[in-house]
Amino acid sequence: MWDTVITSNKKWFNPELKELLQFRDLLMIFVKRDVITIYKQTIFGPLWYLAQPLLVMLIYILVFTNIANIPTDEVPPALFYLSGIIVWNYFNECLMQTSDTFYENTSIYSKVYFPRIIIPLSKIISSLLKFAIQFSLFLIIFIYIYSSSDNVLAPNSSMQLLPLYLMITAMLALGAGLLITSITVKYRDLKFVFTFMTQLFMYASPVIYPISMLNEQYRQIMFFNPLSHILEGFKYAFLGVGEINSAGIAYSLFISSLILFAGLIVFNKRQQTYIDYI
Amino acid sequence: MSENVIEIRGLSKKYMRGEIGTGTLSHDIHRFINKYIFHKNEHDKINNNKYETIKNTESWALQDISLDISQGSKLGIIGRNGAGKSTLLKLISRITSPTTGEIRVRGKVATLLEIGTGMHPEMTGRENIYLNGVLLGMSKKQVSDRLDEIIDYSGVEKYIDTPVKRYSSGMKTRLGFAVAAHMSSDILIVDEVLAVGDLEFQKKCIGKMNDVAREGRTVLFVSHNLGAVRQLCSEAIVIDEGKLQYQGVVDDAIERYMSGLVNNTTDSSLLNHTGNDEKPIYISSVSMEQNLDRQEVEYDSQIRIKLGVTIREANTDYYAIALVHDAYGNNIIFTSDEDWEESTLSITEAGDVEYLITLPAKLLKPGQYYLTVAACEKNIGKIDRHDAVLSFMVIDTKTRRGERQLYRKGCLVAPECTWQTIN
Repeated sequence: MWDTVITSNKKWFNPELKELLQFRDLLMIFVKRDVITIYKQTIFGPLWYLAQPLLVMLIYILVFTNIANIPTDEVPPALFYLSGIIVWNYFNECLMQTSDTFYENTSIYSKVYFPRIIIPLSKIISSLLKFAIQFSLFLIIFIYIYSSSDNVLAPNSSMQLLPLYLMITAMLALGAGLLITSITVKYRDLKFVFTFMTQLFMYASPVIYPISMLNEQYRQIMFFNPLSHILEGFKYAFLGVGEINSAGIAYSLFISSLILFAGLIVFNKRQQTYIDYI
Repeated sequence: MSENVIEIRGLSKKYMRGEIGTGTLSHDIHRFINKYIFHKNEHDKINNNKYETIKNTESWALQDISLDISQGSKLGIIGRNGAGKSTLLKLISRITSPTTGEIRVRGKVATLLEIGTGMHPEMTGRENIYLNGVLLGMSKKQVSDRLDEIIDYSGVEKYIDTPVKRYSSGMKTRLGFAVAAHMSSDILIVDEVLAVGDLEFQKKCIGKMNDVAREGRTVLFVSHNLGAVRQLCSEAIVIDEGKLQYQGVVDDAIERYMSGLVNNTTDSSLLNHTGNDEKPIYISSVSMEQNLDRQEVEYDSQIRIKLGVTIREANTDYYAIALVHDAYGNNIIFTSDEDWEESTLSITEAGDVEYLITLPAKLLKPGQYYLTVAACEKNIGKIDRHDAVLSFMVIDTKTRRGERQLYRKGCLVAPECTWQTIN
């Protein structure tokens, strides 16, 4: 029997899970490579991943709380902004890392075969490590404020949903990243459009303001954004503020799956011949 | 006959030149609009022309290749640059997809298109062995099992925990090759990697591939080094302009390939002159001096070649070269017009120079030979070069050696030597 049959047959969706399983070692090695490069190239290594959210947080406090007087749902602005920043960072990191898959890896893709999806998958996993670093920063500040002041924060059992939140965020970012890399590899000029759109997307997500300050009309629009449910869910779990319900989470999961599915189809189609015209 | 490990049926690969290459959205939108909205205008002359150009940009890198490769065979793939050899390897190793046709593969394929694919400068030698090894299709465990062997083979034990960015390029190559040499695939595909290393490295490469082949694994080998192909492979295919021209024993394939390079005539009027207008100096004609029917030269007579060179812009750095090589890619004689005195070309004003090149008698043993000529400029190199521009056959119907078939296979030349009794 033949082990591999190579044809021009381009199925719409062709998840070769068995093959993916064979290459799990490669996945882990790519993750390891990413991790190593995080701390080897720089003087301070992973410390940068702590400094960035801290600095951004301070700027937000200065600009949005002290100057613009935007409310933070009655919780300390430091924690409010930090929770928004780290969740957004995870999404953004995953998206940035995966949306350049084809360009960044041409030298490998053009020399050796393995399931192409391995590389974006590894980026999702290694970004999780960066999230973990930033999340521990969040936890330290969270515990400090929680123990030093009464009743400001109301952490609750919905914390268990954190893995689900992360999974939905990763699915959304991966799906969008696969779509973007598949499109930009052919139309390079669209890269700028997507970069700009990602920036705008942050302002369309409740990162620097609470949903509660919006009027009803905006609020309805906001809930179309799958990421807003995740951001609110995260804030609710640790800080006890935010607007979250199971329908919203289910909606986020549904939309993320849809985008991921679309991304996989387009990526799968593109990977077969992109090397011919890169 | 052992079973086939690779079967290729009707394989074709089309590239779209120019069309996709532009890669701008506006171009595609433009094309889309033209195609689907204004398609009624196809009688329009301009649109017709446009359609024509789009059609012309298609090029077939491979056309209707069918091929069986049996278990344990060592297949060389030869052909000119751009003939489609690398495309074939890329299709078999799944780097890109075919346009039509099918490839069926039994067993695990490992492709070696480059030494040290994916190596990361920040990672240590050891870490890179894992990365590179797993990329080439080994499991982590397999790499672990062979780690000591690989490190030993690479000869960089001392620096194995140093980041690869501190390695010399030679060390990197050795490390990459050590990993490649310990791959565990059933089918090994190697493309031109020999080109990178020095002679010793090339020898090591060929030796290792021979070992692999002896273990009963299948090897596909692409190289311009015909000597290496002949050394390693027992069979070969010749690809020309995307088509399979020949499949068979390696010696026949190489001969076939070499003869394909030659205009089948000693008359140089068919010399390809395209682009000569831009060259300051070029070869205007090449031919055998003797008017030969079958381009045959006797062993005991001199070989005389007429070479015409045209100088358009005078320059003191010009010289001309001629190279005789055999059907296996061995270079036999190299000679230049500045060997014994200053090159005539360097002191000639613009115009034509005609040379008569005489190669000694009783040197080349019977067989097919090819002549490559070039007009060169110092520091720049070959300005106008014609590979295997003519061929001739050395025969021996006159000497005792020829009569009795005393030429030894494997010897490159057969100069006349004498044996005298001195006791």
